[in-house]
Amino acid sequence: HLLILLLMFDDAYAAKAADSNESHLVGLNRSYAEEPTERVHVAELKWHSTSTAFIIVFWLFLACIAKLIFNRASSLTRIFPESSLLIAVGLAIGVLLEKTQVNKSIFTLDSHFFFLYLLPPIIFDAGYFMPNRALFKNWDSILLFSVVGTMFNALAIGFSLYLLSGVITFSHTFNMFEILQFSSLISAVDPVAVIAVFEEIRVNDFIFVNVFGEALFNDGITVVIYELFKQFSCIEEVKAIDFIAGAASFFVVSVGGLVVGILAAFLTAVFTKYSGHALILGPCFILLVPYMGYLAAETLSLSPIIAIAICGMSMKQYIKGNVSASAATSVKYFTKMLSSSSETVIFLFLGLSVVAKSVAIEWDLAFIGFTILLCIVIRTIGVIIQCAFLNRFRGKTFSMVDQFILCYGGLRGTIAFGLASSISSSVPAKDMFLTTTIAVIFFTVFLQGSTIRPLVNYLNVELKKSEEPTMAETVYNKYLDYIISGVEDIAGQKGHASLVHDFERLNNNFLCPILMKDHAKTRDFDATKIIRAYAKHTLRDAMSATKWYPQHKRVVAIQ
Amino acid sequence: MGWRGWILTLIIGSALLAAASAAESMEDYDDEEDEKLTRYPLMRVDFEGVKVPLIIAIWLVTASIAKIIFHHVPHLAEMFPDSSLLIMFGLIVGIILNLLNVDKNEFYLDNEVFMLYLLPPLVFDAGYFMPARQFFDNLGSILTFAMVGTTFNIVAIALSLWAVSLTGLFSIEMDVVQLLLFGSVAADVDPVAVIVIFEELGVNDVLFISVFGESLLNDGVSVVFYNIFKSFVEIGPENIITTDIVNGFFSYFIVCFGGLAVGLIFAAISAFITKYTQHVDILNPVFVLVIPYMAYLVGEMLSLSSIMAIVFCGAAMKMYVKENMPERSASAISYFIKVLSLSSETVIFVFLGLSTVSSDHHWDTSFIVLTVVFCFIYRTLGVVVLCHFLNKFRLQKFSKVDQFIMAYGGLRGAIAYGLAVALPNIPAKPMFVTSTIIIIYFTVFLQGMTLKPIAQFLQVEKKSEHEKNMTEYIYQELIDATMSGMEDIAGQKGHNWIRESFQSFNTKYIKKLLINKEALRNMDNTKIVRMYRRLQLQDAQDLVKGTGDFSKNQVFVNALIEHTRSRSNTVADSAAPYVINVKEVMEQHGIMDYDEMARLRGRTRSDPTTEARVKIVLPNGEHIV
Repeated sequence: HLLILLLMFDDAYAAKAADSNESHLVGLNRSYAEEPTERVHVAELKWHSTSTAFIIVFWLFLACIAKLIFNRASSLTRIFPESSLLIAVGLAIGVLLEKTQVNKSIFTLDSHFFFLYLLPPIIFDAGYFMPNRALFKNWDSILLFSVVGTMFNALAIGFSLYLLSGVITFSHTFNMFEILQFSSLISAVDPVAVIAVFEEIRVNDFIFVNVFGEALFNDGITVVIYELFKQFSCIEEVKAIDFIAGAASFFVVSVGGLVVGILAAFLTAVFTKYSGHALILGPCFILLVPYMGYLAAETLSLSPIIAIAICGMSMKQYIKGNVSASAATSVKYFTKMLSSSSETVIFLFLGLSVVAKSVAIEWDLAFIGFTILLCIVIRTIGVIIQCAFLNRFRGKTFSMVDQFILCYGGLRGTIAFGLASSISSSVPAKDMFLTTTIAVIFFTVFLQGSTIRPLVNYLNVELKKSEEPTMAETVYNKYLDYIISGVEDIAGQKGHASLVHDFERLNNNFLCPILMKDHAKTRDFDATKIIRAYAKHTLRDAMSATKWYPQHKRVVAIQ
Repeated sequence: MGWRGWILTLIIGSALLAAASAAESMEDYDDEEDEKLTRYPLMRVDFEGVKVPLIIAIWLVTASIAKIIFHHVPHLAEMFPDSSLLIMFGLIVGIILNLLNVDKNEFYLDNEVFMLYLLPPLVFDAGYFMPARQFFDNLGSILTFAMVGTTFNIVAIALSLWAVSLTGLFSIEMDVVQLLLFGSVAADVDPVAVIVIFEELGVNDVLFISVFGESLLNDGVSVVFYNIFKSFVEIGPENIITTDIVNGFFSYFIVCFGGLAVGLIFAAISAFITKYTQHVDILNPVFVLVIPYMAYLVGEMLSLSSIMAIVFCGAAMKMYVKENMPERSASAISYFIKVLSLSSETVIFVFLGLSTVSSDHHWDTSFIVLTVVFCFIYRTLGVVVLCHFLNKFRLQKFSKVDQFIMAYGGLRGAIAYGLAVALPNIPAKPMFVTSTIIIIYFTVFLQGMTLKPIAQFLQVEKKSEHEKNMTEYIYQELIDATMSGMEDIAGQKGHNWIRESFQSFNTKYIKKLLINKEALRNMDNTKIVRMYRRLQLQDAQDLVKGTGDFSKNQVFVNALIEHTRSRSNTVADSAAPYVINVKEVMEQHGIMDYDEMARLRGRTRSDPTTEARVKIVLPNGEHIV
């Protein structure tokens, strides 16, 4: 522990040194610029031109080193989730920098920067590795949670706080639209925080997909309500037409995001299909076109998160057929790396920017306490009601434990912080809102994030299977799907399974020929898994036929 | 072509239009900020916020698409090298954008962007994949070319131009120092252009490393000269005193060796950190990519040779980093370095074409023609003289053909352009920029295009395609050891002695420090053991495929021996003659014959549907169907 602390201080000092150097050097540079060069210098220092790139790279480096250290100190990570540790480091560095009077703009997380550069890799990664099958099986519950649940949360929290403000006097007054604006940002579950915590505890796909799907797709609704109330608080008189426009804009935002995402996926598939001769450019398209989709959605103020997630989900199948296997693995590897490093940077900066914003801290204990309480209570009520409703119609019902994890896993994160800092400064209670948002984030990430693992263990929540499904499982799954869709057919019902079946047929007959290279050869694409598995087994058998067992890493790589 | 060609044309057209309209619409949105909202809008367009990344992404994608299209047009890629096609594409886009009245600043290759963001991936790639052995074997000649050759070129070009300028032939007056400055721009052989052309050409390693090593290292030289002369120009030629010249001379060494030192230090840091990443495999790429970039930035910041820093960082860290990472991440990283460098190369060339349209020009025919001619003559002269000198000491001599290719392969490129753009504002600057661009075009187009046919005509020795087999490895090690032994006997501390002692130092100390224990343990298995394992793996795969000669197949023979042994234990007293049924052996040991399975399923192996679906990918990228 001492070592960690030492290293942490070391890092902080390095950062401080870099920063103070900067201020010093900028001055130096300016003096250079003013007077013409008089003599030739043997060596000179030019910090000015490289500073931006260097600061970015340096932070990235620092964040990764911090992550590396946590990983080696396993006793620490067993108790706290990584996200909370990173926030703590961020806080520590922030305090140090604050003490050394470094310019604050260097270490504030600009919400613009966050939304344009840090968020997309994480969401893309999430979409690209989304268990598609589990997602489609649970689309009804995810949609309900993310649309109705989020809306219910936002409105309930908002109105309760508004009512409370009549009873208790908070340090700032606010009107209804302002508090609704706040409640809409505070009620949204954050995909980044959810991934960070849930990837560590590794619950089963069913719970993961429900919590994470909600977090991902509630972006459409959160952004809409947030913007809606933000505009309402500016507009002098609110007419009915505004409500209608708001409701319509919800569809525009989410469906528009969806369309942009699918379009980007389509383009990526087409580009990679023809990249045959310049094969090495394949990954370039796979990463850039979705990002362009994200930016396009952001430009048109559609939901960029939905766009890039959908893009990643839908292009995966076609991409894999188009690029070479080594390209596919390196893309996989790289998305993982990009997302994990930007996640690290996000949490680090969350801690830092709290310190940077600390001038504006408005500590209103009553408000914070009530907000946290309401967040928990209303989320619980919402989940229970919705689950009760859903359980009537579903084959796989939500058990009590599932419901508890659903409630408890509703973590808040950086998106809320970004939205909170973009509340217009004309709102008098802005600082109080910002402080409360920070408090809620810390509460959920620290307290809920670090207690969720023991709770999961205690409640015996089914964990994710670590091994891949065996061949028999794959075959039987497929078989079951066919049977169910057959049964639905006989019953004359257009249900879930027949929908999937129809889509697969459409995909195989129309989409794949357009989007995939050499589709004629891979027409019976379903067969591949079995044959691949077969080839793998024979190879392993051949290996074990000799006394030489696969110890060497090359062999491991192949298997 | 057919309909596919049309579709592609359509796509590129629309992408172009998108880029153009994006660039145009940017200005429209500039001044719509402060509109008070009265009604809740259904949708808004907010371009200003995402402008920067979107434009970058669009440029990257457009350039990549252009590259793909070139390869889909038949015969085009065979005739022209990629670099010239991309420049041409950039030129066309530039003209179109110019006609659309887009602001020139939007598509101008800023020197800073080029130096800080586009160049590093490219040179890092060059360093990381540098054939280290060849490089150090030819270090002497590379250094001679890079230092002496470049200095000679710079001075000769500048003095000749100055001599001509005394006759009053040029439209702008210049003094010697300005011309020396220009000379240091024009004499700079460009690594980017050289890699592109020579990789397509596939010449042998010695030739490649000589030209390429020169182009990498002369960056140090030309940048130093450039900086010295730049400050001379700023000081004014009449104010120069001896201290300046002495300082300049010293800064030359500081810049080169400082860059080298920075590179090595960061390589050590990178290797040291990856030593501890066994459990967070996902962070490896960050360290492998980000730390060399930091080396580059630090080099740039201290005005050392940043190119040298990143090249040596890449070359030095590879050995250690590769051992610290699992095979999978190492290959993914290699792949990604290639992707990064290829895309930044693509963008560089496109922007070179674009900037031709967007920069200020001053056309002076006599100056341009003379510059091109001088560049060509002095390069040839320098190479011939230096080769003659070097051949006295070298075992493997530069033949006439080699010398020709080396002289002819001295391509100029984007670095020269970047330097030219960053010139101080002297009256001759537009003329310098124009003639730099012309030299680049001349070398990339004319020399780049004709280099391939000429190399074929002269029958330049090509790079050998196959990987070294075990015997070659063994013999090479043997020869190395023998040579260093002979040197020892002769009491000479030569090339081989240095290598040998470095290797023992490396295994004794550096590797212990920089490579994690587990990898080190695996590494103790010498090359031969590793080779043996690989061959065995190959055998196993052959067995699975059902091809190849079973009697030579190690794995199979082992299985057979196992089989007979176990059987002889049980049925030793049987009188019947012993029959080995191959099929039975294979079944008993779980080795299945693929052909047999296929036949049982009623399909033959040549069936394309099964063939394409079964792929085993070897670590070296081979596919086994």
